[in-house]
Amino acid sequence: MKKLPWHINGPLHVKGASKFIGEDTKPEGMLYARFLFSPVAHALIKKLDVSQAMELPDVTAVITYKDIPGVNQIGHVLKDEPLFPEREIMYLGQPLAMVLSPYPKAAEQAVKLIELDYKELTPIFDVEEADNQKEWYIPERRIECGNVKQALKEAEFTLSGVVESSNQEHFYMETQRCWAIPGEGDALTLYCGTQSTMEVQEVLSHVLGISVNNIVLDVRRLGGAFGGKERAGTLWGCLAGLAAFVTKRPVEVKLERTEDILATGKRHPFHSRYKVGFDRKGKITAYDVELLANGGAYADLSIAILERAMFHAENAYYIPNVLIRGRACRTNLPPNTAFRGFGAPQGIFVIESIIEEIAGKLHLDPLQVRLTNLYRKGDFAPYGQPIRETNLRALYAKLKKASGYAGLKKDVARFNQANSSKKQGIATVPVKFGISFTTALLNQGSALIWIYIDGTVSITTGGIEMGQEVNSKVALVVASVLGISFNRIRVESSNSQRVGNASPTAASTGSDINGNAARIAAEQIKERLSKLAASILSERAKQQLSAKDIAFAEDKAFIKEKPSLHISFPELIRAAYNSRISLGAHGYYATPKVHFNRDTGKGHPFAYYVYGCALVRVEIDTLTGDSTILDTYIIHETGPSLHDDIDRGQIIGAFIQAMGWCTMEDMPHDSKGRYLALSPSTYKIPGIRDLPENLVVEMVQSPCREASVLGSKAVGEPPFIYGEAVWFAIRNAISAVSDKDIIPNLKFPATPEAILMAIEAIKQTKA
Amino acid sequence: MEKSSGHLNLAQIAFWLNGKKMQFDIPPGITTLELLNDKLSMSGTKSSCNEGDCGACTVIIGQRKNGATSYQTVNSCLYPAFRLHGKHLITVEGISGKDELHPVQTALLDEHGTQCGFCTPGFVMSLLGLFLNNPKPGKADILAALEGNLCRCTGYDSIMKAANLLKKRIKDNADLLPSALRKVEKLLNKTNPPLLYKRVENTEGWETYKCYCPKSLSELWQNIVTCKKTGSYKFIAGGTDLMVLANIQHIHYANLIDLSQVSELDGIAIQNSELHIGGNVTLTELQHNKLVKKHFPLMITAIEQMASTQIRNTATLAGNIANASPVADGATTLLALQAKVVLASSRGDRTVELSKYYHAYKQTELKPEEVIRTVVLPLPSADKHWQGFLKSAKRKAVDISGVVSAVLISYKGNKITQAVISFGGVAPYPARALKTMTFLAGKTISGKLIEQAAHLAQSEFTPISDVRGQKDYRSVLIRNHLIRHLTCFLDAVKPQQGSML
Repeated sequence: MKKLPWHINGPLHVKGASKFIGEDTKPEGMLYARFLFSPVAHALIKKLDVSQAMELPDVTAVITYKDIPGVNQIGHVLKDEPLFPEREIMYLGQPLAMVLSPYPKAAEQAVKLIELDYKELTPIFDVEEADNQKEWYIPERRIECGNVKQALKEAEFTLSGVVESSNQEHFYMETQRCWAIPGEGDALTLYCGTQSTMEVQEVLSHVLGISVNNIVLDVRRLGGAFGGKERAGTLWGCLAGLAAFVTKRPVEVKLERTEDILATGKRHPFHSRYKVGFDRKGKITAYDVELLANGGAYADLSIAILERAMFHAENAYYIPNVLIRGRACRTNLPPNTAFRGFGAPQGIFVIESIIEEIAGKLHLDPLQVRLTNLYRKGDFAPYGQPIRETNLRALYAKLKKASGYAGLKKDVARFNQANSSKKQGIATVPVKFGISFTTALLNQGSALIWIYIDGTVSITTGGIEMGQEVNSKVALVVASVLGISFNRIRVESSNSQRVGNASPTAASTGSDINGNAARIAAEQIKERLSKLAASILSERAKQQLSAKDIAFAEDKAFIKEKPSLHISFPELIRAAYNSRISLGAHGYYATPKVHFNRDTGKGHPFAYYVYGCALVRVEIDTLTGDSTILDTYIIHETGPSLHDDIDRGQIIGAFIQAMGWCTMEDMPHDSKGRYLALSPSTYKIPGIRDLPENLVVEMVQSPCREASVLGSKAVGEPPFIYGEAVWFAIRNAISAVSDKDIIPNLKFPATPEAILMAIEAIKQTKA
Repeated sequence: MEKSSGHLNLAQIAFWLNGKKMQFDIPPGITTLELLNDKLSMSGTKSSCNEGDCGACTVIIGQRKNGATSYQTVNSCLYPAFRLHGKHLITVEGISGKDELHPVQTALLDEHGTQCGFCTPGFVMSLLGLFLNNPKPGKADILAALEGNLCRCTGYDSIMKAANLLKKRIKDNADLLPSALRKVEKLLNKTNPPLLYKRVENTEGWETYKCYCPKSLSELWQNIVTCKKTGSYKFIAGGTDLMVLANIQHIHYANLIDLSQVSELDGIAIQNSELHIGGNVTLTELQHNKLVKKHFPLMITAIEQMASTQIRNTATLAGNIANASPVADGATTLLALQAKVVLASSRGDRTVELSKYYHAYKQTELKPEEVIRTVVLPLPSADKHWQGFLKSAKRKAVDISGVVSAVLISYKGNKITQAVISFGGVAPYPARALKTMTFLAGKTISGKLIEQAAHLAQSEFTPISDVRGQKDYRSVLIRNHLIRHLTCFLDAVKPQQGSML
């Protein structure tokens, strides 16, 4: 087997030598920020007096909204979010004031001296209540096709119900942080925990009332983000930027874990109501669904997240008559935000629940119902995008084969017959995940490449490295174009001076957009080098060559027909410099053919889809509610992968993260809107013991017509969907407690408590 | 928190850092993690949760223990820096040369076991700690070594593969530490000079407490007298609870008295048919102790499910009692084993039944000037006995129980001569199910008896709701835990019949 390159920064990571934000040598005069976080979820500020805090000897400044030189507004999609609230507090944990001191402990002391007086207002936390009160950021959105009303009327069977999914804390290992360093004049450099350099730059420029070109964003890497720094990092970046601008000193903003969990938004909880019509084979003919997203205090990305939930409401199933209505509702929780999947997991969870319900009602195997409804080539999605390519059935066939489905089902039935305190369940889910930002304008990116005199390469893209290895993939693309070794390449921090106007690294598009931009830049240089190599090798070969006769591989340029005649890459680079040929290039890429009309709900929002399916077998303990994943089989289409290990790491990482969402990750809040699981001692993300006993991942690498960079497909988010199979498998295991064919009332997430209480409910019905 | 008048006592510590001798004057309140990150600008050891739950800050402490050098992983966020005095601190930066990679590091790279990289140094150190102590670990050993490290990116599969790859590659653990680090072993032997202080102006707003590190109980009693003159004091043993309070809730004391070097609190021994466990004995020491394994397998089962390797390496069993948490797994287990605690003070020792030790929520028999000298376990009677431990929590490992239970049943044939049943998480403190115990004594085990006992146990407690579970759930768990225990017991005494449960 070909030895794959290590993680491009792996050697630094394993030596503890890679630098995250705030780990460089501290600049002279650094100030540390500590915040007054709102103790209430909804209130009017009557008094915010910082004078006593100011008087403390080591306090350099106490900053409130009054110190903002520009506009007190950090909203991006909607202008609804102040940096500091002036009048109305909107969520518990909202920063109200910032103390700066050279000594963090002194700043902590000073925060306690800020006097806050407020009048409490009635908060809303529940999405249905918010919906009833029409607390919507924007009016209801719709996607519609066929005639749902009619089709429901004509359907052989109908079902209706409510499906709920809960929030999820990102728990990136590196909390929100930013270093802001003032330069000359108004200039400011931010080393910020953000996935969106352009957004922070633009928003901060308004806050400070200066032009964008004064602000430099530089992001080397993030210690995990998962969407939690796509938008949520902007607040902390702007606070650091404001503090540095006002004090003219370097400032560090760094949240403690408890502060981070308390004050930042989470995955959107969804409440969904549906009506579905189907025939006796389980073929769905009509689907009417209302998706309600609990958006929290400010719009943030909620509208786009709701939109993606709507785009994925039918998941992998062709349904001729569909009405999808979506409303994102304002509540008094910290602004819920992007999280891997971006609404799609929530939308998909609804239809997958319905499939299970239909199978239960018709006494069919849920897998059969899924197969009956899967998309076929030539179908259209409800928003009008044609399904040009889909091999979902083939993927399902592979899944059945890999898992030995028929035997597995029998084993489970046998096990459940023989055991009363342990039960097993299996479930499958498919995924059809749309790739591209649904806000079409974001689908663009740039890359800057320099080849230096020794033949080493420096690449900057707008892509933010956060563990997904966009940097490794970009390097692989350039290495492949220029035929050079991976080790020659350095991928730099994402810096707004080298690559401006960068779209967020999000929506799984990081490698497609930035990889393609880097490819285009590398191809420009390759074209120049090919001409030069042709002229150099013409002499040696004593024949007239042109650029098209030249190929690049193994750190050499050579004649295609006569590979023995070659010039080494470093030699060629020196020759190019000497011949005054440019060794730098800027590449620009805009994803073709993506568009969507929000008024009509029609368009072609995605460049392509990623498909796959998974099967999970779990065992539950009916006395304790504990669950264990026995088997996981994942069949995932990657196209020809740029790097098998990276993609496998994304698939398994996403699956385990989603398993956490569906099972143990429980983040309740109290009646005042205060999150209760503020640390990893109470908020449990999966640990190494939660890895399934048997985990089989098959990457389907056959070429896809609709793919992206060098034929590969995006991989960050789609496999998150597979984790939902864990929840359904658990529910199926619980149903085995009953001798009847029932769908247990299992809460989300399926904690041991939820499982045990669902079992208790069944037992009580029996008795 | 008590603040002194602008002055601070810096502790003058001397220790080895990655093979090099270091001397440092530190504010006594700082953790090893803060010392590394803030004072030494060594950022390889990461701060992510500051309460010992994520493992990103894992380091290895080399120290002389019972005549040999031990290397144990700890969470540096919970390890007070003053404790480094006389020890060898090994961090991720110290295990390989500038242009070299340690085998652990290579294995992680080969299996692509790092993504964002923030948790990676912690995994490197946990893996190194594992292989230093056990060059041929089984799957259970690997899981135990890594359960205290969280990773949000990889899903752990690649990390598990790296551990398995190392198993193949590592033939001998002798060369797992660079020679410069190994050399320190000889130097660790010498006794440490006592911790000295330097009085300086407190300009950075540090908590101003002072630490005492007595070597004997008599020294300890003197320290208490001194402390009482200057304000409040608190004992610190393993510190894995106390440091969380300091880091997260910012609870500090004017004086800390470190019990970890008090020689009378060491050791595990059998005296007069009782197992005596010293107040300083860590969970890891118990886990590997032959006497404990032989007589109290229940204790091993319980400890394996408590916390993580990093925590077990420092946390003491006595601390699990002193902390008085209502969900203490250790204390609940000890209740079932009919433990006694010997409480020592300058006035002498007194022995208290653990069942009489708790008064109310977080209120115990332990007086402020007393320390838990010994935990005493009577060896099981000549009757046959059966032991059971069951823990219910959200996650399989490194989680605090919603409900925990332990059972010790003595029996003859099918007849229960005595049953001791204890629960944690269902009352203000770990408590026994006394009515159920009385009910079961003298009865013959049967399916019907199990049902009756389980309902009786359920009626004995009125649990409360909190973030670890609602009261109804906890109540069902009381019943079901007892069903599980007694059914397993039934299976054990009637193996030929088997059972569906």
